[in-house]
Amino acid sequence: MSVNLLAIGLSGIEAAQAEIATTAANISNADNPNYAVESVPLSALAGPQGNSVGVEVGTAQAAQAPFLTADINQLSGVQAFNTALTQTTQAAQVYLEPGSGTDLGQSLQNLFNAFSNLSASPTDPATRQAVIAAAGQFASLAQQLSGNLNQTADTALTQLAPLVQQVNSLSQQVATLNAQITAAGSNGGSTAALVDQRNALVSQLAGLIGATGDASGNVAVAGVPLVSGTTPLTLSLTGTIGGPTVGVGLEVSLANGTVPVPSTSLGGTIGGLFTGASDILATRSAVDNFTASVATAINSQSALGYGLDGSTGNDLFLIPGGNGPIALNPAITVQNLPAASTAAGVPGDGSNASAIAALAGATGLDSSFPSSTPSQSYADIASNFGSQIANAQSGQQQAQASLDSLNTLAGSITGVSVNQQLTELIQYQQTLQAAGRAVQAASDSLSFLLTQLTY
Amino acid sequence: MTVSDIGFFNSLADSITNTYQALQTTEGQLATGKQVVEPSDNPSSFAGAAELQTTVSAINNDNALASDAQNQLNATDGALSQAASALDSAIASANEGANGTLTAAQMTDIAASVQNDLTQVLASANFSYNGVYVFGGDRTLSAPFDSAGNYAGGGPGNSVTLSNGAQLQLTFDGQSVFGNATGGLIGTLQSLATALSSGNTSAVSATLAQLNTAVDQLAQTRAVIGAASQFAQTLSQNAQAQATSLTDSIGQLVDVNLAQASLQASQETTQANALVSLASAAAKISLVNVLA
Repeated sequence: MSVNLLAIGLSGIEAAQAEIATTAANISNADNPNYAVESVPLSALAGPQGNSVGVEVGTAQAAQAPFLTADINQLSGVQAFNTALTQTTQAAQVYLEPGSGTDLGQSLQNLFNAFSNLSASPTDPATRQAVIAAAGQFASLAQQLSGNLNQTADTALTQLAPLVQQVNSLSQQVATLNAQITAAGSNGGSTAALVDQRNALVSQLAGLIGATGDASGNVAVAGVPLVSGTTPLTLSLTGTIGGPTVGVGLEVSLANGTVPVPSTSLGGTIGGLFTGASDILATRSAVDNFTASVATAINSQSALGYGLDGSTGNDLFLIPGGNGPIALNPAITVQNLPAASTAAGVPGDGSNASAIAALAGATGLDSSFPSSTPSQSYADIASNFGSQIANAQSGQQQAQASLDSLNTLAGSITGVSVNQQLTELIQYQQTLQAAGRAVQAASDSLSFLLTQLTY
Repeated sequence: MTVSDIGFFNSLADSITNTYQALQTTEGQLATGKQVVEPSDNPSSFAGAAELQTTVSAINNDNALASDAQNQLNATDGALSQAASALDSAIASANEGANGTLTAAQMTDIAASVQNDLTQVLASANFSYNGVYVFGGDRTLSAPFDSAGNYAGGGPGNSVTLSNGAQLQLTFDGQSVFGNATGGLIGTLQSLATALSSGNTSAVSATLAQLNTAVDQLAQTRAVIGAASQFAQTLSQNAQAQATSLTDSIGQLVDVNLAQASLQASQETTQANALVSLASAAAKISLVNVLA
């Protein structure tokens, strides 16, 4: 028994030391967001008669919350998506603000006002010149707004390339960790730290592109694999930036060819950039359609009128391709601007100018807004774009709130509470002291026995 | 439930960040006086304000047009008033010349007076306002009447159309107002001058009825112009009131309630301070400090 008592006490000392070491590791990682609190699994050592003859110390294990981790990764992707979408579209909506210098709605009203003034003074050269100036400004702002929106979308899309490189780098690291985890597991070693690292990488991939990972370390995005076991797959950017629609896409290279990754199914920052650019270009298209529709209506009425020089059939605007961006017709002059609706010889007639001015109250010039006047249509375009941004902002805030809750919940399972660790440390110190006393008792007993045998 | 340190402090940091962001937004609203600056601030209010702003712009333009129109119509009425005075003078001359008591020399003097009246009427008929010949109908670039009273204008006259569809006639068919070398006011004055010069009292008498018709015609035109001027004044006044009302409506959509925002900023400041104090206090109550 005395010999067993020594072994039992020794196992207790080893167990307490392992627990103290693990506690020390927990405390030192208290501020590491990618660390899951670890504990030492203990089990009783069974003797020949089934009684306990000490404690067996296992390999330290990290606390896990797999379902929460998956949810957190998904929400991280949603949050990053909405953040990128918000930032991208906010950069574009400044051009739709009244004080932006490209206030198309006010510019169009100025043009209609100028035609009203022309109807009152159809032969006045200054008034006629004012109409041409207002038309030129409207066309110029339409071009500027269209160009600014296009440029903002292109700027968003140019951010994709370095992000795709980050995705590939992270995929490579995940694949490497998968190999290390497999090797450590087969050797009976601890995989906790490696799994923590892998979870952190998958979390980054979720934030970047909305990727999801499984327990085996496989990672996929929109159903297309990025990491298959120990094999990283290369994500590539295809197409070219520029043009009226999003001209770039993503694909993954597999052994048997490439697979496109649908950009509309992406999450994370990359998904937000794709969606943001798409929304901006859709708004640009709506603006172009709007200006082209208004210009077409003005041209139709304009062509019916007569200039001071008796000419007729003159278009005020050029509409390349029938869909903008529009431009002022350089052939329009003070003399041939068609303010009159009757034949040459009565240049004081401003009724055609009145008819053009009346288009300000006409509905359905832009077929996308059949019951709206031009000013309402443009306000609706800006409002619709603003609603998309507001939705993204709301989504971002909701995802952040949910993320905070889940992180708190996950933290209660996998996070480190220093107070708890300190309490446990005291407990382990006492266990160590008690185990030492047990060894001391065994030693005393053995000494006493030896003394009795000597005398 | 265990509360991890990093989770606790991260949550606290998020709360502090969110509170300061809200405070920043409120302070921005207080600084600008606006709660809706860009579409995403409030898409519905933004659209409403943008649409109202274009309406205000149109109304302000209407106001300027109506005001200009009123000035032009008043000036035109002034020209017609001078024509009416000349006509009254001519009628007095006709009455004097028709009673057969005047000598040939006196008849010649009266004829000269009537010729002056005719000149005044022609001047009124060729009245221009800011370069526009008001009685040229649609042909407003040149004087509609020559010295012989021939009419070179044409068309019914031009109108300005306001954004609400209201129209104000600014130029008129001069021939229907003043006649021409062969008839109407001008033609009758020419006949009267000729009859007086020749001492033909019966011919002088014959012009009186036509002159009285011209008086009616002139009065009728002045009434039309006076009504149009009054309408322009009403439109201008209504436009000003409407623009003021719409500007108030825009303010209600986009302006911040300063009292409410000030209170909100105060509450958010208190909230932020409380959170910072909480973070500071939480750091001191760690078991580490107790054990030390």
